[in-house]
Amino acid sequence: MIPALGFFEAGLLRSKNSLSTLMQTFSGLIILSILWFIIGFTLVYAPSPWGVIGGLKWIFFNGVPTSTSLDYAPNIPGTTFATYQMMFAVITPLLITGAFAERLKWDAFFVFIIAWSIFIYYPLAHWVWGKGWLAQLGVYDFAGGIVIHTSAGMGSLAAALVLGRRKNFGPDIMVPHNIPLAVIGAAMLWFGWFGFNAGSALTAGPLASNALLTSQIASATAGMVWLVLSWKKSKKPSITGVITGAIAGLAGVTPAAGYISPQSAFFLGIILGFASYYGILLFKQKLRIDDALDVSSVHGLTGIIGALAIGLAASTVINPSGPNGLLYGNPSQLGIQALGVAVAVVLGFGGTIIIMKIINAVIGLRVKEDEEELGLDATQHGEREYGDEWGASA
Amino acid sequence: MKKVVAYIRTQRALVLKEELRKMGISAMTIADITAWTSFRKISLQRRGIPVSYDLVHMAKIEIFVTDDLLGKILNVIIEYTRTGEPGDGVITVSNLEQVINISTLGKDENAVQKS
Repeated sequence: MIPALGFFEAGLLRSKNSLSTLMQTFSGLIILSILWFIIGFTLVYAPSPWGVIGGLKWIFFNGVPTSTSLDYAPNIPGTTFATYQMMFAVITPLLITGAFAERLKWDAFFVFIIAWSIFIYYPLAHWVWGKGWLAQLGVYDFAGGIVIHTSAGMGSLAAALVLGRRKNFGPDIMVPHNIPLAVIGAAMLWFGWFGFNAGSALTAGPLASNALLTSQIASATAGMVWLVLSWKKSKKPSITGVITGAIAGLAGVTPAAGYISPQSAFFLGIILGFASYYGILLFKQKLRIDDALDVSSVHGLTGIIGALAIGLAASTVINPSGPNGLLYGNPSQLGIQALGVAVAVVLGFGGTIIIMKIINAVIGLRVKEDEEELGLDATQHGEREYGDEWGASA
Repeated sequence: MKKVVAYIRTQRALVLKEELRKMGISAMTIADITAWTSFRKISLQRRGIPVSYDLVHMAKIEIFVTDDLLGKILNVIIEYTRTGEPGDGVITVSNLEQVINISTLGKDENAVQKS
């Protein structure tokens, strides 16, 4: 899923920056896997006295059981659970690469994803998934609408604001250089998302089956909304629009996939399609915030809506260990979900601003103006994306 | 009628196109090209090993203009592409015998007017 994110983004950006975004996602996979192994898993899932941050019991994966399970996932070995959760920890900070694309310095990126993991993702994941204080209050998040998409989406909004717009911001620079590549990325993301959502059942059975179906149907209806809206607006249906809609649906159904019925997911997808479409118009066209690939709308707004959908449409018929929502006679769940969302918004948005301001003061965030013009591939990585076959070394 | 051919830094092509459009140019050719000069090299790497290339990507812009606009166009090209560093490129100007717009069959100045 993580390199797929890179393909999706690289295809939608200009060619001169395509390697930089592939580098950020692929090397992010490397960096954040190591970080999760050393400190991440223990900070998120080890027991904590006050539910604020996990202890150091499992530092370096020490003592994580291979032959027995953890009580988070009774049906699989402890190390399987810990490794599976690694994927969530890796992809979350990397979602923000879509927001700061085409202008962030490489070293700033390196520091940013580590700081963001330690100060935002690990605490938030502990609070919601590691039996922390939000979990104790009854906040539910099946596969990461609050923990992942809300926090990274709002972080993207903050990152775009701190970093400022790209040079010559406008239609001339928003040129997808390789749409087939973006479609491959979207296809691989969609497939990977089944592991993300259905896998979060942590066992193969009715719950995983429900999550599989809700993911598929919400993605389809959200993509359908984009298909119709782009068709209506441009008189022609758009392939970049359809893949964006499908991803928005997947992001939005993520928190609710294991709590709501497929019928609820059908309507949730429609709402997610509209929200992401008009979110982009609001943030990018109207407010002119240069969140390059619209992570704030495609992941942020949809993550918020999906998390609130639990409070509305969750049912213990679907998941006996989940909550009931408003429609099933438990109105208080909506308020609890809203609290979880609010915490993720504040931490994701505010925390990202603080981290980026500090990095800016110490090593700087943005590449020089001529480097931005030349592209990040050549200036940050010394590599070119296509066609140097004439360029013999001299 | 004159033909202006400018070899410029690729990254300046977008801005230059906009400026030329603003001053009323109705059409131009913009091509990605590979250029060689004896003095310009760029440093890249291949799988962690530094290499230097003497073939660089540039943009080639071709414009057909009436004689009275020539001076203004040259100034705009220079203003928006010059950095003063080696590798800014060159501009050539040559006379044109005839220009015919295939759609309108307009000739010379009529061939390059906005339709």
